[in-house]
Amino acid sequence: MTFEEIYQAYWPRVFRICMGYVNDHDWAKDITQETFIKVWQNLPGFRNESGIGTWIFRIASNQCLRQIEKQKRMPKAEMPEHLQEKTEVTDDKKIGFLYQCISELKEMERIIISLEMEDMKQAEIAEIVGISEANVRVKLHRIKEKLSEKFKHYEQYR
Amino acid sequence: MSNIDDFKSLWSQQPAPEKPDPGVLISKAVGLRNKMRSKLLLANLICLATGVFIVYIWMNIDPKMITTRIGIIVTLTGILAFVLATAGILQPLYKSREQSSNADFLDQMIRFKKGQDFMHKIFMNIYFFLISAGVLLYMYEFAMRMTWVWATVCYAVTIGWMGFNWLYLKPKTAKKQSDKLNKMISELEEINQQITD
Repeated sequence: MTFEEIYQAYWPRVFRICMGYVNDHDWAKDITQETFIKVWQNLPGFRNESGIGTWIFRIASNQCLRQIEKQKRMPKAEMPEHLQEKTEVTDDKKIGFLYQCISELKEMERIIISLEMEDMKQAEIAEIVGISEANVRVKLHRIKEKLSEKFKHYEQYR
Repeated sequence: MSNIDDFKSLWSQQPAPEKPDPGVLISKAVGLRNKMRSKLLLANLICLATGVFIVYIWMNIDPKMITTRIGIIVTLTGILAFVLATAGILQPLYKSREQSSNADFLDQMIRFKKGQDFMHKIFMNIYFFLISAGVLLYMYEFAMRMTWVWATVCYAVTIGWMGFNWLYLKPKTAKKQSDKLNKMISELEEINQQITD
C-alpha cells in the first residue's frame, strides 16, 4: 500500500480514535496529523510483521498517550448543557454523548474501546496494547458495562 | 441503548474533518526533519566554535600564570556543557519506540522521563561546578596583583554570588524542572498500572 492509499483509507478511522481519546475536534485533528507524519516517516521500514491497520493504530494510540506532555491544552469538552432537559435527542447529540463518555474513561480504556469501535479483532487489540487476549476480553466487558450504564441514565433523563 | 452495535453505529457517524492534502502533510514532515537536522548542525557548530576559541585564547592571550588559562578553558567548557544539555541533542539517546505496543511505549516513556530528570541534575551540577571553578581560577592571577584587602573583597563578592546561585537559584530551578517531570512520570505510571489491572 502506498502512503497515499493508507492516508485515504485510514484518516477518518485514526481521527475517530483520537477523538475518543481527547473529545476535542481540533486537538484530535492535530494528533491525527502527527500520526500520519510518523506513518510517512516509518513506512519504508514497515515489514508487514503485523497488519498495516494494527501498525497504524499502534502509532496512533501511542501518539494519544504522548499527549500527557501537552496537557496545558484545553480540557475535554464540557458535559452537554441540556443533559437534564427533556428535549428531543437527535443522533448528533447521541454521538457527542458517546464520545464524551469514552473520553471520560481511563486512558487505556479509551484506547481499547476505540479500537473495538473500529472493528479491530480482540487479538489485534491485544497486540496494539501489549496485553493478552483474555485480558482484552475482560476489560472490554467492563468498559461496555460502564458505557451502557451511562447511556441508561442519559436516556432516563432526556 | 446498551447494544455494542448501536454504539458502533453512533461511533462511525462522527464526522471527520477535511483531510489536509497529503502533499502538505509530507512537506510538514520534511520540515520537522530538517529542523531536527539544523538543530544538530548548530550544536556541532557551537562545539567547533568553542574549540577554535579555546585554541585562539591559548595562542594569543599571554597571562603570567597557568591558572588563568585553565580558568578560561574550564569556564568555556561549562558553557558548552550547558548549550549541549539545553539543545535537546541528548534526546536521541533515548530513541523512542513509537511503533511498539502501548505497554512498551509507556515503559519507554517512563524510562525516558526518568533519564531526562537525571540528566538535568547531572548537567546542572557540571555546569555550576565548571563555571565556579573556572571563574575562581581565572581571578587568581589578578587577585595576586591586588592588595590583600581588595583581593579578599573580590573573592568574597564572587564567592557570595556563587553561593547565592548554588544555594538558591540552582535548587529552585532544579526543583521546578523536577516537579514537572515527576508529575508526568507519576501520571505515566498511573496509566501503565491500568494495563496490568
